[in-house]
Amino acid sequence: MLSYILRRLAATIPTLLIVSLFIFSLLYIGGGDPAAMLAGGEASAVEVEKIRETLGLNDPYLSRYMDWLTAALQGDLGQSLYSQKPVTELILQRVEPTAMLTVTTMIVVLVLSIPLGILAAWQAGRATDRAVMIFAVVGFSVPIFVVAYVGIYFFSVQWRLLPVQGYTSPFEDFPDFLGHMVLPSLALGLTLSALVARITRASMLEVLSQHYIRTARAKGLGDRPMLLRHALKNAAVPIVTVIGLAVATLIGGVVVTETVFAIPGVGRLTVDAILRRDFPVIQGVLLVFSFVYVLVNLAVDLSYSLFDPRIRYR
Amino acid sequence: MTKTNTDSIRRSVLGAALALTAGFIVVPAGALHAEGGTVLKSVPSSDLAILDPIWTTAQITGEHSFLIYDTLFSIDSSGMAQPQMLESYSVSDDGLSYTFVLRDGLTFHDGTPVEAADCVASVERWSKRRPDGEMMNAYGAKWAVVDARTFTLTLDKPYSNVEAGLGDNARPAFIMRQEDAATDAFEQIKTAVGSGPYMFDEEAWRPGSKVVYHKFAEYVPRSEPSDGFAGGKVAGPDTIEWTVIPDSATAVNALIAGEVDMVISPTPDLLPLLDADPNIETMTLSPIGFQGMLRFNSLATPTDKAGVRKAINLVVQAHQEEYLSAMVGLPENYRVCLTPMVCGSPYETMVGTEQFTDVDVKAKVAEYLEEAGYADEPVVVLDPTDQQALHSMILVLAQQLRDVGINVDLQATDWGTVSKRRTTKAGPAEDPNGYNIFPTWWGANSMLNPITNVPLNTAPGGENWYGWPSDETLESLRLSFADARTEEEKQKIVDDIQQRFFDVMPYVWVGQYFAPMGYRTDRIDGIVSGGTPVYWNITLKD
Repeated sequence: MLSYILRRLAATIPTLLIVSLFIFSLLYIGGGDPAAMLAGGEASAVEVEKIRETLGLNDPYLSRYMDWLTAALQGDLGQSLYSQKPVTELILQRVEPTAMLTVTTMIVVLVLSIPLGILAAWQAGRATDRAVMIFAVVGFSVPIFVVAYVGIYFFSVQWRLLPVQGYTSPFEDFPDFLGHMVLPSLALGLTLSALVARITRASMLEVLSQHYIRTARAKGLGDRPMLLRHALKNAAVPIVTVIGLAVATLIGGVVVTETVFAIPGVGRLTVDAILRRDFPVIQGVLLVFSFVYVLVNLAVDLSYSLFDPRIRYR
Repeated sequence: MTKTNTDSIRRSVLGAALALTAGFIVVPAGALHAEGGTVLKSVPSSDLAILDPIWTTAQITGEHSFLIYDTLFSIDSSGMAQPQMLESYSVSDDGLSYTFVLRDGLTFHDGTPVEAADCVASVERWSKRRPDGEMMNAYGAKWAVVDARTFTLTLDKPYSNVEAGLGDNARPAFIMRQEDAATDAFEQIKTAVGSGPYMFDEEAWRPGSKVVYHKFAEYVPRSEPSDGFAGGKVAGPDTIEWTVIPDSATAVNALIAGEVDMVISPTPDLLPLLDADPNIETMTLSPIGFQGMLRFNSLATPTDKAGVRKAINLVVQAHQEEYLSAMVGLPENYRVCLTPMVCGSPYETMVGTEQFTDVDVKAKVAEYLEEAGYADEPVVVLDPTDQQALHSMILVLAQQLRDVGINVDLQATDWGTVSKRRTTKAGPAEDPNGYNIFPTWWGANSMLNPITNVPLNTAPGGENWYGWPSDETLESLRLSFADARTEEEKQKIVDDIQQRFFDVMPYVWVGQYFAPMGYRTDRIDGIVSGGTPVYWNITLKD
């Protein structure tokens, strides 16, 4: 197992190199000029050119890439062309809100979707099953921003129960943190819950049709132990896969939620950097994202053996 | 996984879910708000990403700079420049020598005194990047320190806009420490230490999220009452906190819910929501607002022909209200204006504008196009879809140009790409980045004065602003504005500029529009009007 983990981690190095080259090339050939954005609307082409020269943006492509890569290998992802703050500092400032949003959303997802999926599979074909599936279809179909704005309108503007926007660290003020996380987590969690509930239902239905379940039933095993102890564990692999993908998606794809609720997370950092053409920040963030994706995938793969003893890693 | 582990996880998950549910149900919004009776919470117009007001012309950097830096002059409500950091100043009879004396007791936020050397270094850096400063340099400006509080300016010939240029409401000469101002004008300064009424809290700065300023206890405001940006700048709240909220709907909801005290740039479609709240008022900071603009690449076929540019301009002027309505909605948010020299400005003129009214637009456009020899070449129009007002403007333009027989190639992109592509001189036929028209906007304050009106520069040689129109006559008229000594002379020059402008057509102006801010009347009072949002003289009500 350990050697497998080490091999998987070692395999991230070429992956990250390819990703970095790809990102760098994309920014190089893509539209946009950070110097023009930095100078502001009134600057002349001559002024923009001087700024471009100052920032080294006229240097040859390979030379710029090698300079960046050499620094990155030493842990230096450069500094923002705008705020002049180190990219690592900017990312670290944004990691906590995104991580916390991911955690609270996953709590919502797990609390909602797994029981609903099990319930639907258990009551397959009945009214409960249909109700859960309607929830799944609606939940997956309604855009996150609609849920977010409706939530803000009622819970924040009309009833004044929850804040409209912002983020507070749980290490500073836990109740305040919870208040700020409720609406974003529900808005984001609704879509994912619908997805996970469907997968849970499908996976459970497949397991419930197996012979050993029929045998267990014939031996008089009750519904609860049969569902939770025998069926759920064996249905877990696809569910965990989807949850793993959901976590990876949340880490990099919560831009809409972070924007609507003004949560200063990594998603917004990325989008702001792309719109401004803040190349060092884009490169740094995407590199970190890639690494996290690789780690999440590894964690999901390793978790399979917990649910299915037949899976062994060498 | 053992049973104990499973139980533990189950307990954790259950606990977290319960905590989440408890928070959802019982945490009152009031308990969630940061406390502090002397904290003013504002949603700025955009994210503060750059601290150096000379390095960039971004409006948000100007807003930041007005808080932390002071200026030699400020513009009062009648548009006149008044001394701000200066105790006095004098001008020689021939207009070639100025002597400035600083007020006593001016101090930078690091405790060092503001001295003449700081002012000279700051003005010299400013003059390398701002139109008024560049003009002063062209008039032979030489700045010199006399003593700690006194400095001089000498010119080769009189320049009429020295005081107004130094104190401009949008891009004034902010006074920095000499060590900061010594930085090359094309490099960013690394600090934000001024002598203004508020201090920047660099530790608390979270780019993209939060900016914090604290009252500067050592700041000594002028004794005169506030008048526009002139007079005493009295710091009210102890702390000013900017919360960056990128989504306008969220910002407006936060204002309605009382989480913030002011929102600088709510989008026009949300203004009725603010107007409907009895505790919120909207206010236009600049009575002349902003000017929409379509800039031609005057070097690229077919917009290199004046006839094509005039045809396009006629289409816009004849339907200007449709553009403004698409951009900002309600009529109270815009003003149809047929002069490029800004309606409501001291130099407003309607000379030559009769050509845009009572005209058969299609016939006249056809005439212009025929004269120009237009042969259905595509007109590449850049459409920054991430800029709502500009995107709307371009959609109307594209349809109306097609209606009069112009072959439009509408290219949707984002503002970042427009910023790059507009630097391309070659036309679309020679370079895939080439273009014929890009949209933008300007503060009308800058456009009313021929010297600060950057797109009006038509100096031949291709070093003027993007689009590079070239006309020696128009440029010479523009420059002569700086020599005028009386208001009558200035008005006559503006009339002449406008006549020539209509022949050269360096750009299309698209009326004027306003961007009201929203604020809570139950929380704050005393907002200063003058264009750029500033935060002095605001008082908190509780």
